[in-house]
Amino acid sequence: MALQAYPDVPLFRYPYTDLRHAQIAAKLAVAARVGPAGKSLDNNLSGKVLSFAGDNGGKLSWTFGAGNRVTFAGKEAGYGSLDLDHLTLFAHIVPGTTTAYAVAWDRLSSAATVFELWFGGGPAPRARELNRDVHFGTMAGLDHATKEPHRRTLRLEGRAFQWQEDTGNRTIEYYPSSTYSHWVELDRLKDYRGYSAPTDYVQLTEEVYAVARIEAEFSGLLQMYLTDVNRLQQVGLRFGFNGADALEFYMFRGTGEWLGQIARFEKLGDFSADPLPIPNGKKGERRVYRPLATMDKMTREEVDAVVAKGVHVFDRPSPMAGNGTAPSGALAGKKFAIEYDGGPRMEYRFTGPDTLQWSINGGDVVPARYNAWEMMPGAFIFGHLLEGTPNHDGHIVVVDLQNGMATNYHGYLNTPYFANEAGCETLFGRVVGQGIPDPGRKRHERTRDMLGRAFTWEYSPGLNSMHLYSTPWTTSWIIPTPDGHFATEWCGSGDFVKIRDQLYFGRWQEEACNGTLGTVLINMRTMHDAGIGYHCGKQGGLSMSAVGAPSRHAGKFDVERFFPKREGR
Amino acid sequence: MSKASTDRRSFLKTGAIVAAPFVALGPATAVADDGSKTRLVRLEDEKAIQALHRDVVRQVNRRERNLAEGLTGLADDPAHELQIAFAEDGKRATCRRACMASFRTDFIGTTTLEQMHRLQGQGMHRHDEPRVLVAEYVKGEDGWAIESLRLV
Repeated sequence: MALQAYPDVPLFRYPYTDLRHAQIAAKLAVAARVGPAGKSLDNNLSGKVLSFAGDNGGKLSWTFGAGNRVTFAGKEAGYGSLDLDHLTLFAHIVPGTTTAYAVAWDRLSSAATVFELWFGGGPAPRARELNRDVHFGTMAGLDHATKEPHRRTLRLEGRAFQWQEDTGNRTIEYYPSSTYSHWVELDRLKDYRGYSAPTDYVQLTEEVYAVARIEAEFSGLLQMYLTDVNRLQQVGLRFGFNGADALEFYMFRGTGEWLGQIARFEKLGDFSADPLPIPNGKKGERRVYRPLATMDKMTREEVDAVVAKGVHVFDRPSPMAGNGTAPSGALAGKKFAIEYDGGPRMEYRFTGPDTLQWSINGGDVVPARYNAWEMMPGAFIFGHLLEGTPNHDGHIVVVDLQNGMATNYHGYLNTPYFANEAGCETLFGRVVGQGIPDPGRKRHERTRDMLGRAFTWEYSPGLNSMHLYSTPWTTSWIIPTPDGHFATEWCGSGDFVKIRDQLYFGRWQEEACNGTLGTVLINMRTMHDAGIGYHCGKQGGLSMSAVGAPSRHAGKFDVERFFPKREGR
Repeated sequence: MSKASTDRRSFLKTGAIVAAPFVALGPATAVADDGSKTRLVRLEDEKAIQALHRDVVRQVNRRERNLAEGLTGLADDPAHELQIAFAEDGKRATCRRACMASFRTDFIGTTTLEQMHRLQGQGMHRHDEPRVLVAEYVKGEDGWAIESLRLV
């Protein structure tokens, strides 16, 4: 694959170059001398000496000369600075090193936050992924003492903004967590996907925050900015290597649009903002989810072998359904066919509450185990494996027997990237059987009713998450801490189908991340769901298991206008 | 099977049982006398069952007996009393006791959510639930014994 600065494949599929430390040092050399690019840099610090005294005793000093020259640690570099009212953001690379600094300085209070940035040497596992450490303190030698030190914050948790830089780039930034953020690039990336990355949130004033996201697991780039959420303005820095391994080192101004606020779930009055500390952590260490590293990666032969040993279809308790909806036996005794548009005709005879017989396109009749849940009267979700199919298919189907429509999240293995990673296609069809109305050409349809919504899910005691449906094609999930901070976040491809009013069939794919196809039939009247997970791994083999939890509607962001309509099914 | 001594001597040594908080339901054992023997036998039976109940709780708390997946402890709910319902013949009894049950769940599975919980240092979860310990007891030649136990 030719290198692409902003890939036309999902970022989790793009083979980012494993840049060596020496390569990075060479690429930084010129930028260190010249300083960051930018359309409207202020660079107005000439003559100032800023001495930072960190809360932890660390001391740093910058001496600013004419033009954009700054001397730091005895080395002269090019800097860039941008003012946001009485706050200044300045940044530079330390010449001859792979270290850089981005500093947020409140000129009124003298409070300062220093983002120490470095490539290589860890804790990030690859040199191209930027490391950071955040230091709070004051700029000494100034007349005024700080009364309001900068500090980590959860005050941004639950908000979302659309930011447009003076580069023209537009990004939707969701802050559903106090340690991660989720972003959707609307211009440089073409497929309107959301991605998640570890993020620092620092409160600088009542209205201004520093947000710093490092695109871990992907390019490793830093996107950081000071944001005045009241005036909807930002000044920022982008620093790191894009997909073409080109250094991006520029500062920008931006304007924003408030997109909404979802609920936070900390106890009222809890403003603590560092929910995942690492005792005795290394410099710059934090909890970063690296799903590709922990994912089973199996070949087609390994998948076939593990399936041959036996499959697990609703045969063991699922922690993902400890609080799930009770299965229904109401399909037992029924017989119908589902004719999928452009897909197969499936004949079903439900021989019991958890046994059925299926045949595809008039072929052999095959017995299978299934589970079903009736989420509204006459509307069922059920799932079964298609034993003997080359890709070990699974059908996860919602049938509405009151109107004769069906939707199938057809899962399959042997996808091009990892054989055990589930692929999925969405099939729409009609149900044909005695007493079942003929819907004619009417079908379930994709919906945007879920777009921008967030739901919490309480699967089992201690096992909870929140979904954020951030784009029409993305499902994100965020993990809470026991005290209600939402923290680690990840995401995958999603799809959303309306079954009835307040009844929605959604899915997510854990691509390059455990490989699961997860599905949920969400009843917004009962605020409970029933779903099915389809997964293949070395440990548990091929399985179908229950997913289900009571839900809370955390809110809805107003984002629909940013996403184009895609025609067809 | 767990057994408890129900001989008269052991009962008389600890005769304070009359003050124990329990509610006996059902008809008295059919013993023909002026009623005092019947009452004595009933008190003796109740004491034996209480002892068995205490044994069960102790065994659960020592992890010698497992009544539910992940159960790590049981504590009688002081707001409720032991309820004993004897069968007509006095040879069987059903005992219900409101308890606080403590559970521990280890998220050792391979689901993405479990992996992410572990990353956050939340690989284990403890919680308490109000439950009712339902015990069926039978009286044999050697005294009362547990027939079945359920935590509901």
